[in-house]
Amino acid sequence: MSELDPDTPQAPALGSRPRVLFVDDEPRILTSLRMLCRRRYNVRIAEGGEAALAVLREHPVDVLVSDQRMPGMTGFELLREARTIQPGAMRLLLTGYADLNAIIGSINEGEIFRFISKPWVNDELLAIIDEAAAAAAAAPVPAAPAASTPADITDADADMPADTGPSEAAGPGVLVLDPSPARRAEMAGVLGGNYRVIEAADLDTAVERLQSEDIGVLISDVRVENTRIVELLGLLKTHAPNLVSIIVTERADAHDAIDLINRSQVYRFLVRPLRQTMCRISVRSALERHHTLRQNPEQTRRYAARPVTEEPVGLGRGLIDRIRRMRQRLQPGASA
Amino acid sequence: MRIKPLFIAGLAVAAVAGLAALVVAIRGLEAGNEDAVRAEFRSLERLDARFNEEVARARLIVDVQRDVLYELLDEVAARMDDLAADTGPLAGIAPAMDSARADYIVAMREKVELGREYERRNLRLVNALALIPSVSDELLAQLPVTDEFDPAIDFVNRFNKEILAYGMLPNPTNLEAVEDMLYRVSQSDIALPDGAGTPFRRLASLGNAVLSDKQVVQTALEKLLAFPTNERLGEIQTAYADARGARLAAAQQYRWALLAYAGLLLLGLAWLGWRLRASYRSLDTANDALRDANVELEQRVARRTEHLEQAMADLKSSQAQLVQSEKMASLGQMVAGVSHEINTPLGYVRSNNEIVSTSMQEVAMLLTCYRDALALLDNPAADFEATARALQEMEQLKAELEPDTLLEELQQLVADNHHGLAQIGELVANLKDFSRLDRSRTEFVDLNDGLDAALNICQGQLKHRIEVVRDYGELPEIECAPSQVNQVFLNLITNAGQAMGDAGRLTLITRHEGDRVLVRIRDTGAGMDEATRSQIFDPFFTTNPLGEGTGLGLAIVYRIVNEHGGRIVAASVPGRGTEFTVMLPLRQAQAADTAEPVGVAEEMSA
Repeated sequence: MSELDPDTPQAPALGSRPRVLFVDDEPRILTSLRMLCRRRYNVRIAEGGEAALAVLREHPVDVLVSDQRMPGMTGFELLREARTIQPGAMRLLLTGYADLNAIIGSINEGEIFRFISKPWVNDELLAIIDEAAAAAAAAPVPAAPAASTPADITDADADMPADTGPSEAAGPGVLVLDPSPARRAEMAGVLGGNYRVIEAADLDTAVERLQSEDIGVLISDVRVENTRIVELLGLLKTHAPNLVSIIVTERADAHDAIDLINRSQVYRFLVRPLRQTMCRISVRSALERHHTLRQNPEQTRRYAARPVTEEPVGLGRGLIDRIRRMRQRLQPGASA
Repeated sequence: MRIKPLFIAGLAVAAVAGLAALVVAIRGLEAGNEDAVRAEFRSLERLDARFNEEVARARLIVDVQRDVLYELLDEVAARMDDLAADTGPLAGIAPAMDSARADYIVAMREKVELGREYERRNLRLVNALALIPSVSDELLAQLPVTDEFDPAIDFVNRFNKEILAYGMLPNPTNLEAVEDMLYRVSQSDIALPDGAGTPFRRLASLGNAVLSDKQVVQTALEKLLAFPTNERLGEIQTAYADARGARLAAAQQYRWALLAYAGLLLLGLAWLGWRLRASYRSLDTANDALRDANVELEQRVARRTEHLEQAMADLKSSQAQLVQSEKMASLGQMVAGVSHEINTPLGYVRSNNEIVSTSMQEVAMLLTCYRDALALLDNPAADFEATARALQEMEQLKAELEPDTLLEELQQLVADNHHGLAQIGELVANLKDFSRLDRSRTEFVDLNDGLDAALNICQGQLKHRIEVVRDYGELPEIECAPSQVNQVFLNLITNAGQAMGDAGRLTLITRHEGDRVLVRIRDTGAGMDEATRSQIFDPFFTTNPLGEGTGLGLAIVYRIVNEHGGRIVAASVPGRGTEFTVMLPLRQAQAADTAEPVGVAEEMSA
């Protein structure tokens, strides 16, 4: 595979440099970013969504960094389009403000890698772009996107046979983490008999189940009891990287959503009331994603979260230790 | 429906009339004038009795009070005349009664006639009887008291006595005695002196007269007393009783009829009552149903009203919520806009700053290289190799850094930063204007002055390209916050100036209209399409090229006009121009109600 190492300070030769496309309606931003990155990456710029799509159609891009608020086409719309044109391009939003809908859209439809807020810190921005570029280089994506787009789903799809995916009932299970038995039952009902649904009322039980059972997808609210799930998911990202997480929540919050992407690469962010079809399709494509990640462990880099640098808040010591020991179980072949 | 009550009323009247007729008939049949009839009967009976009584008395009394019977006869005759007239109580009751009455009258009249005869003969009798004593006395006086004439005297005395007795109370004895004596007279077997024969014969003739009259009177008396007037009266009475009985029977029948009729009426009444009761009951039922329905209706109305009120309250509350959420949304939008608008320049300024900083280190490094190389060059004692190495290093670094380009770029970055900071400054200033909408400082000002002030400030933007036309009307001073209102004018004039590009005409019109003042700011610029016009009052909406303007101008205008309880209307025709009309009230309300939208965008009618 590629020898590119994100930690290498010296810029590689022009031809092998990561190709980065910056999109912003403010040319001065583009100027600044180009100045910042030109010696490190192969930089292209576009002053709007349409221009960016034109670039994407013509040139291979490893990393796409877009503003959210732009006239004509918003950032998440661009990301969604870009995902079909160049699924291999890592997608990032660099924005001064993004409303909740834009964030949820860019998670569910744009499958965004990171949110970066303006004003940014150059070194941090570069580190994230490096990370994204490395992931893109390490794990090229096959031409057709694996997951379907939830936005295309209508209720007509509800009739779609649920057993078209990989053998769910026998394969990895779906862990539903929710303190409320009613909501667990609701979710189990929505998923029907097509999946092996494992229920957990609290974090400890969830970790226990993750250790003892083959689980591909974790469904949880933003908070479980008083702990933000992002803390657990962040840890799990490191120690069980092929576990795919879906958030189902009643009170969506922009900050939570951004955190969940940046720190735990949440796969889908669904807002109650639950749309059954959407939910089923999300779970199925999450299992497909899990399957892909199992088959191609290098792909986990594409969905890597920001490394956990500090002690997770609200998780017990014992729980953290147990999670850290989990890697061997889930990926017996991988080295620590 | 209209006929029926009339019909029923007619029926009722007919029923009552029938009843009354029956009752009247019965009363007529029953009562007649029975008392009068009976009184009449009694009176007739009494009259007859008196008649008989007087007749009898007349017989007995020697010294007849002649007038009594005579007058009575007249009275009776008169009474019969009265009775004969068909006006008395007995008249017209029954035909049988009438004929009986006629018979009775005939009988009575005959009786009266007989009475008169009786009265007359009796009178003669009484006169004769009265003459007898005096004739006797005269005879006796002529008779000498001698034995010879004793039988004559005796005879006279006896005759006197016998004739008087006969005259009083005739009986066969004294009749025989008288007849005997009169016979003796006629036989002249009584010795009489001379001269005494005439009185004696006179006495005898008197005696004969008495005898015959008495017999006549007696017969008349008997006939009178036996006269069948009472029977006749009795016949009338019988007829009356018959008639009365018939009438009573008829009355009885009528009574039965009345009873039956009354019964029928009662039944009818009872039926009516039953009907009435039934209809009352059904009316009551209907009434109850109606009341229930009414109550139900009231309850439903109350419920509906409650629902409506609830809905109204909900509506109001949701309207308030909507207004609030609209405000919040626009606040959120504003925050989003501000965040984005500020973070964008801030982003590149910060990044540029870091780049400049890094580049400066690189330039410093290059300078150090230069200095070192120069020092080596200047130093004759310097090692050639070292100098060459330093120069090479310097060249390498120079090639790497491209200082000329770098400097240019750095200048560009610094210029960008300058622009970005200015933009941030402008944003912050606008934000301050936008948020500082306190209404505390209001004054009375002439808006024409405010327009002039705004024009002065904008002079720099407008001069040499825009022709300004001031069409000011006479304006009263209005109550407003002048700095804010001036801001409105400033923003509108700036907008107009931007819309017109290199040339155009700006027309400022002011008018006083009733309780408000109108300010029109008209440009001959590009105008707006519908989509644009609908968004012009949204914060951060701008048609200006990026970097020019903040998109807050019209939002601020809108807020200020709103805060003043005024209205702003935008009219525009793409390619011809735009006209903003600001309407401000002369006086500020104590509590401005801002529920109504104040900004209206409409097609220019021109």
